[in-house]
Amino acid sequence: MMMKPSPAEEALFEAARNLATPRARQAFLDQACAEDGRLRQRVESLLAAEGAAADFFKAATAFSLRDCLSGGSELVAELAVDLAGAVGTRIGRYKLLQKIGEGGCGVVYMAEQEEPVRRRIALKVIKLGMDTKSVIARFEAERQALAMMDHPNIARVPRKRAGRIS
Amino acid sequence: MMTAAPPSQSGPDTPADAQDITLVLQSLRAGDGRASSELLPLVYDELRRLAAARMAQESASQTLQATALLHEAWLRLVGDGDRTWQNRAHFFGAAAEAMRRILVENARRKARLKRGGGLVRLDVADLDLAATTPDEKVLLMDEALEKLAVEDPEKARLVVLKFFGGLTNQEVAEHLGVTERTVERQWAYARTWLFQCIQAST
Repeated sequence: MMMKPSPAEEALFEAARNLATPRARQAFLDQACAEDGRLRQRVESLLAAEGAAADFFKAATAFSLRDCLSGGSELVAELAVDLAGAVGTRIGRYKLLQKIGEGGCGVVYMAEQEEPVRRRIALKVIKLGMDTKSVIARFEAERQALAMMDHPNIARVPRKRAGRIS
Repeated sequence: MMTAAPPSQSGPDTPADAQDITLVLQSLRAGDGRASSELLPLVYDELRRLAAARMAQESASQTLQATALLHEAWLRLVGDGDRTWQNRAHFFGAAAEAMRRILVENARRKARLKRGGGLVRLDVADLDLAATTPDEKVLLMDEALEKLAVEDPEKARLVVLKFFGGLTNQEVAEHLGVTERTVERQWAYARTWLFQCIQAST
């Protein structure tokens, strides 16, 4: 059961963590928490967690939006539609050349891939606001079917990989 | 005779929102507390636009820092306007909160895509905290922050500025009108408390 934050805890935690040695901290807590074993326990558990907490948050404050906002062709496709994905728009390394079809769940563009090789592909952009579950399921089925084909003229659909469009 | 376009606020490059934001900030300075809730959606929209535009442009090797985005939004929206510290404080408070929502929404959406639809219930039972992805961190943090906000809204605001806004202790101190020492103390305690809160749920 999580304890509520309290000013007493905060003050003691602050004082204790700024003491140089574990011995000094113990001595301090002996004195400050003489009457209150539970408070002492709380402060000690905070002190024990302090390092891990700092690490957890340090890495987090430097996080990159790319990691959080990208992460799969579906999400970038949604963003592209958000941008009113018109011809000429770039999505990652794909540039939309022309619309070649429109289905129930999205629009298919001819797109140009620039890296690692330059080639034309068909890129399906899923519309926002559709019934996501069935759309994604169908998209996934298509992706798997495509993945099984290995023909030079059929684009290899990028595998989902966190943080990047491949 | 040709007349030059009026400078800054209504030039062709000024987003329409900049004018709205200026008005809202003026209301806030005049003491109109209701204006705060108007600020958030304006800033939110701008941040989403900026983020999406940057995402489309940046090459794969570059990263996009949340802080940089906030500062860019600040310059775009209030650059030539009234940059008093009160305005800046209001703006960054709203911007950090907006960033939180954007990131949480995206993290949830990605989790939904992975699961193929339905409600997101973050399964934290097997989560190794040392190895959380940025997405998982965002969601865990958001949940824990909600709990902290109930008990101590002031600390929760500080955490939003630090974690989602990426502001330095000094910047937070300026925004909240407290000493840097106070920020350090509260940040150390709040993040430890939050970490334990997250641990307790895993």
